[in-house]
Amino acid sequence: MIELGTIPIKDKASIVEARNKIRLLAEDLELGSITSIRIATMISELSRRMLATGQPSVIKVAVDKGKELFELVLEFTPGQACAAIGIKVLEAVFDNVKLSEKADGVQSIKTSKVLLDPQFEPAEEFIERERGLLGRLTREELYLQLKEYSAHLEERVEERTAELQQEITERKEAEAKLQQLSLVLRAIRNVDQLITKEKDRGKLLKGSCDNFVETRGCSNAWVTLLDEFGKLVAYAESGLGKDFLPMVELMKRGQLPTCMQRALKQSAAVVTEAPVSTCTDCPISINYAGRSAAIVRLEYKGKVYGLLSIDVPRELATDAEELSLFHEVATDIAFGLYNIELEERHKQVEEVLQVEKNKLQSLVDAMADGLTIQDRYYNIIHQNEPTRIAFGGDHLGEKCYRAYAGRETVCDGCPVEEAFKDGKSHTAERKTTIAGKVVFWANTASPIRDASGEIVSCLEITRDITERKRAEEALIGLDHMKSEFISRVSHEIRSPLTAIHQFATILLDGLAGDISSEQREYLEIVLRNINQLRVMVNDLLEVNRAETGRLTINPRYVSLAELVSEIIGTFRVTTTKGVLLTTDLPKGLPPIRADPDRVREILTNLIDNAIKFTPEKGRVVIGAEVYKRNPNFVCVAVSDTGCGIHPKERKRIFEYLHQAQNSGVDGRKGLGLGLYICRELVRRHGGRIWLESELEHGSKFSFTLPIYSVANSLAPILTEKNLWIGSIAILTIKVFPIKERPLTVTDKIASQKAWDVVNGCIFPSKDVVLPIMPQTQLGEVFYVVMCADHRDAEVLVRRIRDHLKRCEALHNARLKWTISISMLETALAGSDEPSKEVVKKVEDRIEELVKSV
Amino acid sequence: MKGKKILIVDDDKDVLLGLNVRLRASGYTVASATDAIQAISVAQQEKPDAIILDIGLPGGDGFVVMERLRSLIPLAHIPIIILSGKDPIINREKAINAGAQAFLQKPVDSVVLLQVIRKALGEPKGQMQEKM
Repeated sequence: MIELGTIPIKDKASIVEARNKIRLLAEDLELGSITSIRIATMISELSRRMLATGQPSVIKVAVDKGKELFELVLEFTPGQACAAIGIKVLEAVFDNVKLSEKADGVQSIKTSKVLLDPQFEPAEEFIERERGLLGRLTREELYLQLKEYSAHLEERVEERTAELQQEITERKEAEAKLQQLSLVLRAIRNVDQLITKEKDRGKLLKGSCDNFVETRGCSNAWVTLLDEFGKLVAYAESGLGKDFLPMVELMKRGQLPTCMQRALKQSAAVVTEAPVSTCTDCPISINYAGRSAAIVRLEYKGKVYGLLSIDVPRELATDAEELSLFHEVATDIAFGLYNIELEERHKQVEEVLQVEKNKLQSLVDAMADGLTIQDRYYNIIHQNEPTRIAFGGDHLGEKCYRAYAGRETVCDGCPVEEAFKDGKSHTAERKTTIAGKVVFWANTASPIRDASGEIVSCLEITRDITERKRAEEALIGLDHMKSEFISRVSHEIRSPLTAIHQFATILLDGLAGDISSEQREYLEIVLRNINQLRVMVNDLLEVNRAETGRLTINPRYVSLAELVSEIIGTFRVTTTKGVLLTTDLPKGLPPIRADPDRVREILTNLIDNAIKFTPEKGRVVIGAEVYKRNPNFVCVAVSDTGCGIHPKERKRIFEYLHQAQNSGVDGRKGLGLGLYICRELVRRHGGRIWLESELEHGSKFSFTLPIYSVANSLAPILTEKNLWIGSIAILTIKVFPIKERPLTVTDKIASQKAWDVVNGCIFPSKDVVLPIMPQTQLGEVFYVVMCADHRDAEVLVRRIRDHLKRCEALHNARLKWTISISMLETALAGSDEPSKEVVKKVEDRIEELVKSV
Repeated sequence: MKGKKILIVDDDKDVLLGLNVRLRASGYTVASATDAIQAISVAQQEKPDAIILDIGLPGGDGFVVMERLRSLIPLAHIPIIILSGKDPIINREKAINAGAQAFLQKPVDSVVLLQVIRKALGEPKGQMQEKM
């Protein structure tokens, strides 16, 4: 039981207050306007009766609101003259709105007023006192006293009679008033009932007017509705008939009589006691003889709808109670109008919505793409025409995956599922087979939110991309064919090239007899051309790899100095032209992290070019130093004393298929691929390549490669989270020959293989890196650094052992290997930048290990 | 150390002849085969000291030949040098893993070829430094 407080019922004003409070309460509970009005009306009636009769009463109202049932209990106690209002939520659930009324005593109210004289004494006491007196008095005295008493009694009887007469009059008046009040209350009740059931404005107005005339003893009543500019909107009257027409004419012209103008401006009713004699501008006069007119504006929630006018008996015209009731009826009518207006607006909005909905439907059906809307459980709640056509009719209410994909669960990678998860749009491609035909779809899902922002459903656009997919596949096929073709042609060209090369060198070497100097010269030209052709074939293959994404690099620890001297060696073997090839490498040049095969390719290409464009007796220098602008890189440069490159060409020289204008001594342009490949390879190492050149003085091609850094390699595992784990394991893997001997190329390839095997063992884990691969005289050592405890490290070691045992390359090269674990504590988590310290510690430790090997 | 026998396997007859001339000039005895099956039978018959093997061959590629040779005990330890026009990026490692001594791409410089052969035969190095 929720106590809602008590409202003392003392006078009419408090009844109005109680009534309003109940109405607000009913609105709060969303009981609906009909119910709230009914309750309020009942309260008004009951309160008034109680006030008039002084009898206690209880009203119980059971109201069903949705699935909760409220019992409104109203108790009226006359001793305290107040109403207790409470609401009790009942457990029972009823299907329909039920309104039950239990007004104890209300059904048979009897007017009973106890009349008590405060001076009146009980008869027995009086007689006793008189008896005592009798005993003491003489007859004469008694006579005199009796006479006196008789006169007094007579006087008293007269007084009492007058009093009684007065009281009877008062009682009659009260009865009359009560009767009038009863009428008023009935009128209010009728109007309220009218409001609750009447949805037509005209009928409401007319019904209200009729009610006044029929039940309230009014001779006329009229209502006019005016818009905000005072223009007549509607009117109704009762009891006036044709007499009202002059008023209508007046209002149509917008000329309102004084009383109406005044009433519009104030909330209280305007009363004209004698309209016939006092009103000069009222077009109605005929029915007001002996009666007064009251006019009040119809107002609800601050909006004025118009005016209500009635005539009342002159003696009641100034009665406050009467006027407040009149006012109440006006408010109720305004409330009714407000409800009708609300409903009309509702209907209008609904109509507009329907039109918009139809428009949208047409639009959606006219789309080429399929459109469906699904609720959170993937039930199809909307689909457009193209979807119906594509997926064989209506699937409303079915699960999306069942209707469109014939599945029992949500499709893998469903964009709708993704959209529900993160509230963003997602696209996914899907393949379906409809009637034996394969169709590709691009499905885009966008979440739909309600007013509060919650995702309630999802819109999915389905686009048929079969054509595009086919075209793409055809293109990919074509591209693949092209790549295959280039690859095959390049390889097949090698056989004849080899034969030509072989016999040219056989002739040059004099294996087929002596040759003249002229013959030698021509054969050298043949050989030079063969070399050019070989370079072209290699370039073509390399570009093909770059285009098919197979131009991969396998960076590792590389000593640049060793690599450069090795490359220079091959040039000394093959170059016949009189160009001096020298190196300029400082001592202590740091190792780089690069793919040695690719660096060899870059340098070979640049040196080839340099020699080609450098005249005899010229010079080509290969230099390297730590890059000044970024000490994490080494800058390698190939400079020549050749003809230089024109500024216009410098910008485009690294572009795909760019051919030099100023060709080499043979006048050939080349394929325009060499420098493009160089740039691609340098970029894949994370470096850059550029050119400085001066015409007639030579060119300098420079490129950067990253310096080998343990710190950089370790970065992926030295995360804060890992450092908290507390230890790092360093596995040292040594690969060396069974018998002590210098390492051969085969050995190097085999240990590279071992490195790959180890890499393969740890590949899936991000917490493991292979940071270093320095070479030693007696074999190769490399390290695996992992963030883990000793046992994890042992598990990894076991795996690496198993795989190395099966590595044939190591067996064939007659190499053996060992693995050892050393642990390093990283209890540095407290410091601000632990990773730097730990990296330093790990680096130092690896350095120690390297020295100890 | 002249007179060691080298088997050359290549389906290109011109290349075969060129190699033949080059190796004979360097003092080696040469045997030749032009397909996979012939390669095995010639190897069994001639018992060469080293084999120069192409990859692309009729009747089974160079890898098949290598596998077969490795399985025949008297031939299992003959050093094999792969000489092919195929992509070294893909095939070098594969060849080394399959037991080849070296992988050379066509066309090969005769100086380099002779160095590799000498090394395979365990002969002392010539004047040239090994460069690979």
